[in-house]
Amino acid sequence: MAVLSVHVGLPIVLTALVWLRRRWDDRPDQDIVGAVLDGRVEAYGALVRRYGRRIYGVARRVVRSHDDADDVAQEAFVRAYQSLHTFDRSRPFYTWLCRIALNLAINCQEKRRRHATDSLDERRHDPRYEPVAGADPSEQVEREELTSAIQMALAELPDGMREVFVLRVFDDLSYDQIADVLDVPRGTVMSRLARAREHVRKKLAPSFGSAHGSDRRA
Amino acid sequence: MKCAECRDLLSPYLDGELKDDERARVAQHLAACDACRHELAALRRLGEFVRNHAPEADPGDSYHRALFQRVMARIESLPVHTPAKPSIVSWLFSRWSVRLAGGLAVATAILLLALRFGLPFGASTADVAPSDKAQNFAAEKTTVTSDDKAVVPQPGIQTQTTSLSAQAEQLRTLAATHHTPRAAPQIAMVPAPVADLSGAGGIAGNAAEGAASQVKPARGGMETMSRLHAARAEIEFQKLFVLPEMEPDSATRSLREREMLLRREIAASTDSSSNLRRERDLAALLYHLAARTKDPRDINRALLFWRPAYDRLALAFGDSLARARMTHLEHLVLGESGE
Repeated sequence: MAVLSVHVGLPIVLTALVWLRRRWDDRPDQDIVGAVLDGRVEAYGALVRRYGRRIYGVARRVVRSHDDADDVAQEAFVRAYQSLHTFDRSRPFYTWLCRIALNLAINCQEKRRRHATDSLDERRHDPRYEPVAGADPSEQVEREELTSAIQMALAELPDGMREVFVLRVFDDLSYDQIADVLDVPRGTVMSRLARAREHVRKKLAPSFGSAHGSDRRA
Repeated sequence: MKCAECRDLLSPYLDGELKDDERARVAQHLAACDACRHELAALRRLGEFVRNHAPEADPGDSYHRALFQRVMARIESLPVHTPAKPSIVSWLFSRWSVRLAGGLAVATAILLLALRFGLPFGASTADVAPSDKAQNFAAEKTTVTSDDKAVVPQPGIQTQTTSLSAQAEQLRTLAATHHTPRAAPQIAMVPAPVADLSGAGGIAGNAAEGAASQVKPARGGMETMSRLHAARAEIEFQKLFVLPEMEPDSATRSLREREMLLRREIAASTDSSSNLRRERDLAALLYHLAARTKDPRDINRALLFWRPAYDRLALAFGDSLARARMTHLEHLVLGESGE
């Protein structure tokens, strides 16, 4: 009888515990924040799962290094957790979190500049730089050149413009959300983005033209 | 609309971020202008081009699992700025959606324990001989609930209650034995005190010594307060970091650099700081912020927040500077409220 109860009961208990642990994944951000503030630390994991990719992606576009982006993403979630009691729950959680991450990324960039140790670490963890078996070497070279050109164009964007460009083009945030993240007026977002696009376009003019031409030929 | 004006609006037009009337004007111009239409097409292609050819920024699922584990490991070791954790019972039964699972888990666990250890569920309570303490407990329970049918608690519950009572008594005894009034500085200050005005929305300025000389106690600071309102700041006074030994100004700068993203106003002191110096740093910071407020109600609100900090300062180091500044702030409130 005891053995039977273990075989039946244990899976039920484990399933229930797993369900309890994962139940936050479908809840709105504000509910999760409330739960964390009520002491349910495990609920915070749902926010990490939900926004980990986006935060890492934004950080990576700004700092251009996997190691730095990793540091920024991790630190952003920890800092957000530490400051969760200051978060205004009537506002979106992601833009608040993104602001923390972006500021960390900007600080990281400034430190890199000060120490002049900016590296080409980007290539290390980028699968696009890995040789693809069976791929046409000329296409491989062309792809690498395009990627490098874009990377350079983004790197050369002035401070302020780069963040706006990244948040709009890669993170697909609205102007209002970007204004919220960067704590600047909406009009500033609009003008910075227009200038950033112009800047990138000029920098990419040769690559953009040739790639577009080859696309059309294709 | 001229081409130059249209070009300026193409970027937000592309993003769908123009107001209706502007969008209509741009669309009208585009319908008639080949050059601007080509410009718009080029902008659109540029976005796609960059997205398609930019360096990959997702290291994959395994990385994100590792990131999740590292973040959770770190935050679980951090102090939480929250009330105490709820008990396991309230945690299990806190949400409708988990009541079934929680109840099921508890019931199954009890069943397993019962089968494993053979607890006398079927036995009458009369079979159980309660101890004297248990009888006392039951009597108290009966008195409190005014229940005619006195129910004797289960043995397990009695044991736990007795044990907890005993532990509490021991703790009380221990506390009474070892309690000695602490010296004032130990109560008031920590080795690296930090005044943390969390989320105080972009307030700039020198937080440490020197702030006092910049203080303009009259009006002004409208922008500061509007940001403060926008951030709906909860003002706190707490220690955040223990810093390596360094000069107070360096400590302040270091902390502000670390916390710049949260836009906190910070004053820091270190072990080597004299008490007077700590008092001056903290008082300067608090006074600096309060004096920059505009609305007397805000100053009053700030006083309510900061009064405990000032009291601790006064208790610890004497009330020379802190008391004078607090008095000045109170005067500001009273004076301006009376106007």
